[in-house]
Amino acid sequence: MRKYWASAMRVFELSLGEMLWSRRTIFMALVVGAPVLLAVIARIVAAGGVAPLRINSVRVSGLVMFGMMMWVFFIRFIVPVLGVFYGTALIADEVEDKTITYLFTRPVQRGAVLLGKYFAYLVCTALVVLPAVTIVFFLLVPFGQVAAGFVPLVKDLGILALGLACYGALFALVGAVLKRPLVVGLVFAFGWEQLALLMPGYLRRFTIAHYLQALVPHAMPAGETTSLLQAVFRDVPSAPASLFWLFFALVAALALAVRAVERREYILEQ
Amino acid sequence: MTRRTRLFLLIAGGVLVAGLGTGLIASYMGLQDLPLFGSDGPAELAYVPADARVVAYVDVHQVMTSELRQKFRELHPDAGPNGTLQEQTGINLDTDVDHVVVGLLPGDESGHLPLMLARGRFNDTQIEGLIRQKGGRVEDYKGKRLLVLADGSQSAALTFAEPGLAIFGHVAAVRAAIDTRAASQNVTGNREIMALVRDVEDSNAWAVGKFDALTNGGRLPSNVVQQLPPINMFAASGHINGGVRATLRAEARDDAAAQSLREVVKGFVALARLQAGRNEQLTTLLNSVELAGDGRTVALTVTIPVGAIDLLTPHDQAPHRQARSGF
Repeated sequence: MRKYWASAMRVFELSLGEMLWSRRTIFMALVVGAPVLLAVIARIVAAGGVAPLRINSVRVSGLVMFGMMMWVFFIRFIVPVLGVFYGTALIADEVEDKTITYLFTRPVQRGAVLLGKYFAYLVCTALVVLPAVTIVFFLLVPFGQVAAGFVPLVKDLGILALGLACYGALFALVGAVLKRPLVVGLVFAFGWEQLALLMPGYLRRFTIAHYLQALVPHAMPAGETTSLLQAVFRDVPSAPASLFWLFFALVAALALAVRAVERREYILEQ
Repeated sequence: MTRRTRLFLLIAGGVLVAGLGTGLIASYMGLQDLPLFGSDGPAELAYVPADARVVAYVDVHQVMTSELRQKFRELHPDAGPNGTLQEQTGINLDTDVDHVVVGLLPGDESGHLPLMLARGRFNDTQIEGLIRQKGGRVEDYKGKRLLVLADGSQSAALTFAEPGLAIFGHVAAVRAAIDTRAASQNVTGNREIMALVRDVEDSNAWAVGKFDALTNGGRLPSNVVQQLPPINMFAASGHINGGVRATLRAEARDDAAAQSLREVVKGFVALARLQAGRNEQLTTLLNSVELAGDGRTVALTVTIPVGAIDLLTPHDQAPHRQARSGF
């Protein structure tokens, strides 16, 4: 077992550098940089004495704006999109580049390769997304309100880390099992999940977003049609139930992905 | 792991740790209470006792030299504060006063004791002569010359505590100011008041304090006071330059009281909009009103750009506007 984890850590070290300095990081920087840029603009506008955002003539406070950005950018878009792009690529990229043979011929168990790559994905995305959220928080929230917003910020960071872990594990499984994992991942994250959340009934329980959104400490932004529909049909699971199902999904998806990688024979197209 | 990967991990981790550390310190110590994050307000607060109910400040120099003031001078060329005041005391408000700090100190049943500290350039001899002419007398209080004017039960005093600093107010308040300076226990040690001062001190006119100091003694109409939910503290600030940006912030007793207050204010604004009808001046003013705040805080902001000052001035007092627009 110790050898297994040591192998996973060796793959982790190797993959972290590869992942950080790949072309995918430019995409991640653009996606994560957008809310930071918006927060900088809001800060400059607010410093000039103008309200950056007003709803029905009511000036929106920095804390509320931060909550809205968490929902609109991070929870609904950035976390699933990074999970899809990085998670599906963990094994699929090696297959596509025909380099998986080199990995699997090393004296390292196949499952340890996937685990090492998964941890590298987690560290790489978490260390880009979480500092960005912290910067957005300090840009939007005035110093006087930092104390009031600290506990929600810590919760937000935890939720985002858990979201990245869950989506990453799920899409690592998709990448290990399917041939066109990116398309399937995008359909799942931005098709199935969005649709299931809007529909009445129990279908939403088969999404990660349902449990993840139940933990968010900020009010869901009202106004858009999707938010309205979501609010109408929303049955919010309790925090312990959400945490249980998220951890269950994470462990189950990761275990199945490890099993799939260890058993599957990858045929490289010539 | 390469050097640049390690560097990235260090920087990203550092940002995260610094952010969380700052948040942690803020929630346990109160960030605004750290000297690093806020000044102690104007130096004259050293004379204001720690139990002051209200503290106010006006940067007279900035206000008098503002574009807005020039605009008012254009509209009212004959009006000016300097006529009698300058003649009697030698004080020209345009040039001689830098800033003024006002405090309301707890008094007896009859109300609070007012205290005013003015920083500037004053002709001590001329002012003393004027007070003597009005029947005033000179007293010595802990080494300071107090010029006391007694009128029945009301008595006021003036002292030049330092070169360029005049302290004026109720005799008891002026004496308390001198005692406070000597004891070094002043309002800067009052956390509640100073937290508000640090929020508003960027403005060139502000007032902060306990809300009951405004309601006691009939400073606010009783029918208005009865309609308001319980409010603990208030902070009013205004930035006067080209236009005016004024913010009134109230800290309610709890979230429910704050929500009620927001509803009351929204109701007043909606009512005023209905009343405004086609009144261009009032509509301009109401369009600039912003209501904000969360938790126990309610904030109302009014912004009047310099261009809107013309609109807010009654037509008969703005002849130049008619001339400019060709009517």
